[in-house]
Amino acid sequence: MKKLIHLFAALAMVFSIPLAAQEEAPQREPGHYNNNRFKQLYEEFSTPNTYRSASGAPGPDYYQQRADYKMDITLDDKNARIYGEETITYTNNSPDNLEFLWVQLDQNVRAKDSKSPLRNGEGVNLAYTAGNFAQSFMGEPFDGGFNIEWVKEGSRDLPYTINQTMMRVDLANPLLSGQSYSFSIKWWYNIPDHTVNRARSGYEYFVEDGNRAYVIAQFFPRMAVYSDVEGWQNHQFWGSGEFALPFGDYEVNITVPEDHVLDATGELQNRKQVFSKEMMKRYERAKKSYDEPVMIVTQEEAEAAEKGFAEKTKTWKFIARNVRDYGFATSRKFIWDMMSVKIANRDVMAVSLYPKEGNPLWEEWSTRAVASTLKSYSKYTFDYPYHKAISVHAKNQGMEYPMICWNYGRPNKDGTYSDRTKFGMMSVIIHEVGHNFFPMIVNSDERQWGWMDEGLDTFMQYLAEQEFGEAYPAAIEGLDKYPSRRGAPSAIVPYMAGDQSYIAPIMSNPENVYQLGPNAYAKPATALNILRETVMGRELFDHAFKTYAQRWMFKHPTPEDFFRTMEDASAVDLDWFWRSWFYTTDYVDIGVGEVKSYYVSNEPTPEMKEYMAANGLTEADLPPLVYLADLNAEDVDPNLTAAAPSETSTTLKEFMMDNMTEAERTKVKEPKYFYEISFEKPGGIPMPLIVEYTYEDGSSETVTYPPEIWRKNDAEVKRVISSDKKLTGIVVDPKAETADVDTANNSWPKKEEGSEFDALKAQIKG
Amino acid sequence: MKTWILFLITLFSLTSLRPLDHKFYLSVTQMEFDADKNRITAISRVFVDDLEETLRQRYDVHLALGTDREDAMASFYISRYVEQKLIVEMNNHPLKFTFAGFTYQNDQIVLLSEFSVIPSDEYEIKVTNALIADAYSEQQNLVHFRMNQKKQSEVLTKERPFFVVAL
Repeated sequence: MKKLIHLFAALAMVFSIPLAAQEEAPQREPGHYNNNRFKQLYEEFSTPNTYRSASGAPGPDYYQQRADYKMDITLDDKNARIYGEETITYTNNSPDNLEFLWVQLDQNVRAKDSKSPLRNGEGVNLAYTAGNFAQSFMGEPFDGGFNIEWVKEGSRDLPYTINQTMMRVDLANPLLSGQSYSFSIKWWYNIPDHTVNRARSGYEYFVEDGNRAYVIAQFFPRMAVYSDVEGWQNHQFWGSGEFALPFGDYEVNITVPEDHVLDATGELQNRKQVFSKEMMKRYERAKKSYDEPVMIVTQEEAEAAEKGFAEKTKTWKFIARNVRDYGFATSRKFIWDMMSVKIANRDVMAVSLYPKEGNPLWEEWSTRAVASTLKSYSKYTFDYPYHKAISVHAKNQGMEYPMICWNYGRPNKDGTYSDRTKFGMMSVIIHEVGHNFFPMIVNSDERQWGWMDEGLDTFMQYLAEQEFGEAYPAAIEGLDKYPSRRGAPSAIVPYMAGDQSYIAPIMSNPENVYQLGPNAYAKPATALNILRETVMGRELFDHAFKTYAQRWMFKHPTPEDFFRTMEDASAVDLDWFWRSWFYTTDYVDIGVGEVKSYYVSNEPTPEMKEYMAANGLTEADLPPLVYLADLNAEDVDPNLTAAAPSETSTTLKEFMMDNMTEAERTKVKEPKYFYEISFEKPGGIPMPLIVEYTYEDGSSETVTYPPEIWRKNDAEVKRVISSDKKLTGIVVDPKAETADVDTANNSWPKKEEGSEFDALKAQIKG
Repeated sequence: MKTWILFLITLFSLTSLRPLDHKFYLSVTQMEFDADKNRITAISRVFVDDLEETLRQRYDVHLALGTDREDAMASFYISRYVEQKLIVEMNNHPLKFTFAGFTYQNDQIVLLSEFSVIPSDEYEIKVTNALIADAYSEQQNLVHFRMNQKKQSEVLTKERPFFVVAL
């Protein structure tokens, strides 16, 4: 019996069963499901299958459809219209037979009868600018949208049904698994002025010279995606959710006025016909210029061309292989420069097109930013596989297509510009060129998951911006690093600490979130940055991220494929991370609570005595024990607190005599100070507990407890620290790595937080 | 409230996915009762272009805020405007306002205001924040008020631009 008592007492000590557990049981509580934040993600994830493996890689039966296009496009510059005739060859690699095909008509979002403007409520504004008023109440709606002249298979008309931005083409016989089908569409539409109501493509009109600069995209009927996860992705295009597109080859002939300068997705097939001899010479030079852009069309030449308005036309012929979309830019206002960039052993051309309104900013930085971006992204993902990347300057635009993107950043009329304009321009170029990797090549479904390309791209943008600043110190003159807006953990705090009624989880459709910027761009980018820097470490993260990019390049990944791969390639269990950062609107708030000091005692402490009395034990019932007594209790013997533990605890001394040699005993470091520290977690997200301990001699050490420390108690954990030096300070998350929304509880002793107000005030005065 | 959500959605539908844009009208003001110094401090973060447009409509001025060509009168107009829109009343008396300057953080302008507190046994504090709401009726002004280690957060609108501190 006595032995049993010993055993029980010892167990109680070892597991430090709280005294409260001995009290009478309260009323019985009901049971519950597994609400643990470390619970497996089995309910959120779809079950792996032969299309998509549990590892996050494409499965043995993975398939994707293919759409090849042959298109003849004509631009009517005078009337701002575009005409096209296209033949689509659609290959059904799925195991299913398809009774009909869905084709996307994105331009219909601008049609007179578009439902897009009607899906939202509106109220009367307090005031309107005259332009806004006229547009709202007096204007004719823009006559946009596709005019479909016919849909044919060979010479036979095909029946079709248009539902807003989606067109169903009905087939006489189902398209069988493994077979291809060719059909043609003839169409035209009025090109919108993209500066008026922020279309993603269209023209900008320059009053001074009467010219237009066109950036043309979503301009042709495009095949929808048919996949193992969505069937047909025919969710309407409302404006926010971008695109889901299959890969294919494009043969495109574009006819424009002969004095236009044009570039587009794909390799130019008739360069000698559309280039002047001088341009050819310059182009050859650009192929060998790796550190300076070469002008193909100079500003002088562009300004001369502005006065033209040629009646004759020229046809530019392109072939693009394995792309998911097509875009082009054309104007007689364009200045054109190019520079080679080495990616692995291949030469890729970095290209910029801009009207003179973009200078002097654009000639200086656009092409350099393109080149630097390709290098940075290639390093972390895969070598950029296309032969060129183009950055086009278009007012207020920031949109991406394969090999080509539109970017804002316009100096004042006198050529001056602020740092905000400059860094805004560089950042948007890096971001949009980066989209070549996500989603143009790692082809996620943007219509469904905005964050999969925007979040990953914004994360990569942060790395690429920092590397751009290092490669071009002149670009960040006066600063020690590139002023990235997004990525740093502290930058996401105001959003995550915000009003919960206006926050949606990252795993939401882009049409249904309140603030798309923080939701699909900044928060996932920050989460990945924290994952890389703090949770996984760079080595494990970079390998896993690269694995994801390479597994899914030229394929269609889902969120689970990303989540699973990151775990598969790193052996880091991240279910808790995905759950809290991506599936909830939880935030991080971890702090330090009570700190208790202890000293070693030979006598049972009052708490121990209480425990013994409650369990009917006497000291004789217990084995020899060492006690840690509360240093702040009454009647503490100062002699005990200053002494080494082996001097105050006979039990410990005996143990050391019995178990250690003399040499070991002299060498052993006996801690004198003992602390029990409570860490509290008011925030929902479990994160690594990063603690900096500072001692009286000024030394400090940082201990990182893994996030799993919260797995059994989500609100509070305690740790015991022993030291031969007195502990003088504790700081949780000392380097602000975790996006902690409230740092008032991060220090012990509680730091009087220097007033941010006074700091800002001093900064302004200084 | 509901209109605001709808408005946000309206805005998104009209805007392209420009990554560096803000697509909502929102400001955040952190206020703190600093009993030691008998003052209430306010740090307001407002989108630069919203303030620029508001001051343009209100005073017919082009201040070019945050650019190399910022108008020398910027501080005058900003201070004059903030004094009228950010008001703290204590026991039914407005507190003396001092504008402590402004600076820029990315696309936001940071406005510093100080209110002098007359020590009293009891405080009833009413905060009014109607920044930008005169130009944009959809403006939401989020105010975090800190006092005695506690925090109260309120979303203020044109219809209800004030709250009484209950800490």
